[in-house]
Amino acid sequence: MNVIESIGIHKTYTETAVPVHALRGVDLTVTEGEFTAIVGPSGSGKSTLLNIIGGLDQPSEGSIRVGGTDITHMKDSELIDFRLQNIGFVFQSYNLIPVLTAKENVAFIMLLQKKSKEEREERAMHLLKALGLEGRENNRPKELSGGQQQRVAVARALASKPKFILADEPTANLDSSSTANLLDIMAKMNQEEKITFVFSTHDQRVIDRAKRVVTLEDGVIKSDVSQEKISI
Amino acid sequence: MLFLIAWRNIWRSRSRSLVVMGAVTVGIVAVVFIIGFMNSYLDGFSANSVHYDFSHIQMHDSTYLEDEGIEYLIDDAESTIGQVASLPGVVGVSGRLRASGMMSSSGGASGVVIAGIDPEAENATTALGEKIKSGAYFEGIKRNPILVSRIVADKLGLKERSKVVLNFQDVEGNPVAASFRVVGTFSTASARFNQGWVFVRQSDLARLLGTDNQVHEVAIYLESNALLEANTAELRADFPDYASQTWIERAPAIAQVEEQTSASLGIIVGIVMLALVFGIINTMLMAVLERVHELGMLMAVGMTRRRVFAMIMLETFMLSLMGAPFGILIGTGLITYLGRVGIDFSAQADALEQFGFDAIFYPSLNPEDMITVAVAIMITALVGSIFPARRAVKLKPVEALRHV
Ligand SMILES: Nc1ncnc2c1ncn2[C@@H]1O[C@H](COP(=O)(O)OP(=O)(O)OP(=O)(O)O)[C@@H](O)[C@H]1O
Ligand SMILES: [Mg+2]
Repeated sequence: MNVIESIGIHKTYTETAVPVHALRGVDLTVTEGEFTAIVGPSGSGKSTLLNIIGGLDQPSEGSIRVGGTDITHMKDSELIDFRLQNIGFVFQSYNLIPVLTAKENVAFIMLLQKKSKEEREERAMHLLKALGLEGRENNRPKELSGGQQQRVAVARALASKPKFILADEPTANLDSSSTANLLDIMAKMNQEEKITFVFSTHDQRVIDRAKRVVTLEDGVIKSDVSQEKISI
Repeated sequence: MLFLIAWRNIWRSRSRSLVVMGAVTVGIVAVVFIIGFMNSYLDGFSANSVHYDFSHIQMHDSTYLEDEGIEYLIDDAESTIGQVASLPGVVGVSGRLRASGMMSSSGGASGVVIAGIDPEAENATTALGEKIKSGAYFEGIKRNPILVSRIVADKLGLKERSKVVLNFQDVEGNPVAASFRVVGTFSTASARFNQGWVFVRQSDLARLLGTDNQVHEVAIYLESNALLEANTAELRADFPDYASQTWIERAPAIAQVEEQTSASLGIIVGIVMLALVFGIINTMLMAVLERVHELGMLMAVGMTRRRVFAMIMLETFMLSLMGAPFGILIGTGLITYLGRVGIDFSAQADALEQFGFDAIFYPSLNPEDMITVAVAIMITALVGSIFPARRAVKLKPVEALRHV
């Protein structure tokens, strides 16, 4: 099943003095269970594409369907709820609410989804354990390492049971061992739980771990290759 | 959990929050103090007005009130006054003859109200005898003694034993001129008396007016204001031909002063609230702008704008209201203490007295005042929270996320 279908995506930023054509006709389909890296040089349009796929921004042209729903022209308020119910987000940094503990951060997203207290507690603990954060559940973000913080963010993204998880350069601020560790966990979730991941990266070691690598250049897809060497 | 987040967010910049708390505390203490002080001002004003001027109840001929016509008299004064004096709770009863006229001396002339009184009864009613500034209270001058206020005495250059001539009309409408000799000067807490009343013996004035056992006005001083309603009703029943009025009905100036006071109180409270609102808005805007990225992240992952709005409102409310209990506690403590010991303005006693005030103010609070304070804080918090909350929900997630 296709979780993401984007057809003929153009994005032009017009607020700038000279209009910037960040995306110039991108067709990208992602099916369930993929582990896809979006790569390309700086300014090639990776973040722009992820924002559009994630319903954070709207394309200037083209259409975008997520889980079969056309979100191209969705209203802002509908999009917020759509994101809450369908998409998990992991950003480059400062993913978490600083005044909440790891567990509260994970539970918070389920609170927004109006899940019961028992479910929130139970699932938050389960996910933190699965992501190797047992014993750190009552720590606040600033008491956690960058890698641990990103794993809490992944737990938070998983907690909402999304159709896929979007991660814009999730490892950009991590050292190499934390990067490897985070990738291990993402790959494990992908293999065992069939969670679909779409992430952007500059890091060759991260690219090597992807099953599919989509390369952007100047706002168009330059190559799209599947690779088979997944290791856990 | 929004409560929890809002609460913890307040303590992210502890010193900033403490400053706001302190400002709210100080603001409330100031407002409570001003309310307490204004209360004492009003209480003092009406108490003095009752004690030194209008007394609790006044009785007149019903027609007299319309134009103070000299011919409208209460007859059989002696037995009427005796009957009033025997009512329970009555402390003093003063029957007065009243005439409007001119008082002239070598130093000039002045319009006056001439009150013909029984000195002893008047002193028991308005304490006039205790307010003598020079000379004596109807002692030492045998023929036609007159008591004038210090203000009038200064104006006309009068001293003890100065001769003055009073011109007025008798009950038949004939002009009367009579000379009096100043027996003393007074200065009391009644502006009305100070500005233009002179007091003579009732027998002297009766002779000149041509009245016999009659008065224009009966002023009645009670044990306490609590008896006001009951005694007024009693008097109305006992003397249906005469009009009995409470001091509240007789002295519309008091209501006016009350109105002016609450208006100025409103302005002061408004200024304090405005200052607090600016402080709160400033602090919370700072808090919002420091958290642009975080707020963008929250909206990106699915927090609705309504929830973000509520979160910031909640935080502002908590921040604003935290100082309130301290402010109310300190403020009421202060007023309770000052209400016991009083605030002494003895240095300005003379000036205050002219306007009807005592030199010592005893601040007090009514339960309604605390409602006023509570409502004022709520409005302050509400107004202070809307702007920062609106600022927060105007953020666009994508842009906010790019913000570092
Ligand atoms: N809000 C914006 N307004 C104007 N131009 C923008 C905006 N966002 C991105 N751009 C421009 O669009 C182009 C694509 O930017 P984008 O952030 O998608 O690139 P990227 O591939 O994510 O780069 P990086 O690897 O540096 O993160 C760039 O030229 C960028 O300057
Ligand atoms: Mg980018």
